[in-house]
Amino acid sequence: MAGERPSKIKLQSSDGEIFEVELDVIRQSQTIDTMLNDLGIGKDDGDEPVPLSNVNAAILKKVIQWCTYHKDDPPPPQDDDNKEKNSEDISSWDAEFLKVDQGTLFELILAANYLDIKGLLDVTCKTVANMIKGKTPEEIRKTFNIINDFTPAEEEQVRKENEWCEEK
Amino acid sequence: MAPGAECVEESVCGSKAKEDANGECMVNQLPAEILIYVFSCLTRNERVKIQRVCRQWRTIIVEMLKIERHIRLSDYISNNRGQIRPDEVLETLLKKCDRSQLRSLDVCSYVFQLSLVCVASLIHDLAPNVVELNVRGHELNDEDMEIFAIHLPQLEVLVLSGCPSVSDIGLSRLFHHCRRLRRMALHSFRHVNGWSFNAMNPSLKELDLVFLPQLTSDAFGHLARACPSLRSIKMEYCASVDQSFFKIIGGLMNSLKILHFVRCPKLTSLAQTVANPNLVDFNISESWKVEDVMIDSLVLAFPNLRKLNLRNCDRVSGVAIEALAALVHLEDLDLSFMRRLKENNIIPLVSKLPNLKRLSLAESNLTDQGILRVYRSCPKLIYFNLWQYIRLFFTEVAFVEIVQFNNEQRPGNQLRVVASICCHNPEAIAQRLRETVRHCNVHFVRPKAVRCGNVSIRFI
Repeated sequence: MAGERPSKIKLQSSDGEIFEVELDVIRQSQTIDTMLNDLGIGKDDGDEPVPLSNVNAAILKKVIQWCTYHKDDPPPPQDDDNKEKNSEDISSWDAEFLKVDQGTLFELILAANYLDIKGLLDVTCKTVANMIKGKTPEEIRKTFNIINDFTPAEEEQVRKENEWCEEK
Repeated sequence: MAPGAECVEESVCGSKAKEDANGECMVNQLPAEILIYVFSCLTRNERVKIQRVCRQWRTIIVEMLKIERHIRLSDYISNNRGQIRPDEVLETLLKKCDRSQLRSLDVCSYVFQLSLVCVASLIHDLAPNVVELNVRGHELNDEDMEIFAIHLPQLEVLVLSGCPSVSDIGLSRLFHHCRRLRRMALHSFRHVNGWSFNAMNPSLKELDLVFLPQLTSDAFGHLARACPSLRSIKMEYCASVDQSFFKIIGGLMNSLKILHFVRCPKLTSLAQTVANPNLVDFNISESWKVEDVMIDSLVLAFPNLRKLNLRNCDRVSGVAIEALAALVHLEDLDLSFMRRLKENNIIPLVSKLPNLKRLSLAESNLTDQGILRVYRSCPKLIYFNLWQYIRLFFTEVAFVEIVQFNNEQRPGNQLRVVASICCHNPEAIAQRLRETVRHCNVHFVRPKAVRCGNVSIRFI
């Protein structure tokens, strides 16, 4: 199996830049892993780059950086839907890696979703969750530039409905 | 590799938002399933709060509540300020959920009290597909039990705790109406001696009994006749149950898979005729009168054990436990707080147990070297409990060696080590680990986490 396939693969970002990546790094992307297994991409003519129309070069570079650091990680555990996910368990490397502006953070989420990289999606979503925690609705709106589209009457209704839960 | 980042300073787990040039709201352009993922990292209480942010968030949260299959009321009520009525909160939640989805309800709490009759009628009216229920009884008496049970004939799993006024009469009414129970737990029933067990329904598979001080071994004779499919009996703090249990339970003994006698001081040995090749999980922790003879007899009686817990059976000698080597299928072994065990009893034992995955040696008299030898003898180990309260034998050297050994010899193995380290400088250990290992799946668990790379280390 190892002899059939080249150990590196070329990826092309949406803005045309080409990145050469080791297979064992990029395999964390289920999307690419599936492509390799099912479609045999990279087997015959190892020079043809895989086009990723939804990811630009800057983000792809960061994704590759994350995958390179995490390439020896064990596969993430299966999600137990009933358990609340713990958003405190982000490693210090990941936390540093994700000290970026919101635009980059959300692009990383979208890229992780498109490329189906569970670990990256998990840690980026938890980072956003941590930006929400402990804030009042007004503070949350400010953080994310969200417009309050409730009418005053609607907002009052929502507040009243959930009065019992405001205690914390 | 230093992560490159155009960055602002801030706390470890978050990033301060930079205002975008055009004030664009990007978070709401994320697909709904991603917002759902983000919101699922919040507590349920927080989710209810953020409904007020905007319409889109409210829609998503309402949808999330709808598809809940399980509701735990204490997620929404963390303190009782008097003005919160838990039955109103419960009613609100049940009305918001999708009645065909909701299967399981947990209203057990020490913080608030609910009338069980009220809970039962709410479920009956609003969430008739709930088949699993966890409740505390408080004021419940035998008459109320009848009303409670009549409303809930569909129950399959019931955890019922703290019913000081309920006797065997109430229980027999419960069993009479709830004929589909397959799993039941009864906690704290002071007046129950178990004659009502003859009315238990035949589909019962698992029974947990905690603190039933008047429960006698005779009750298990009733149980054996009524519930031939029973596979698991877990008892804790049932002070009146003794050896006659094994004789009285008769044939049912042979089909049990799980048997626990935790903190049952009258148990000292197995009856001689006991033999059960189906038993896989045996727990006699805290039953401190257990002696060496128990070990020999359990090895003969239960040759296919996978899980064995002898925690705090500290009359058992080191020599006696070496007989456990015959239990070659053991995967989970708890020998904590057994003060008579020594390194030269433990090491030969574990090296003969090829399938051992979880091992607990809390408060055992091991040295650093002993711990390393134990660890190296167990190639499949994923959980290792080395908790020490009084003496520190386990130093940072051993930590690093275990981590390195795990990385080199068992790549991909996830190991969880529970240990207390009375060290003055946890940062030094963290730093040393940062230098020597990068990818590490060893978690040293104690309060106050210090993270380094993928290693989670916690210290006192």
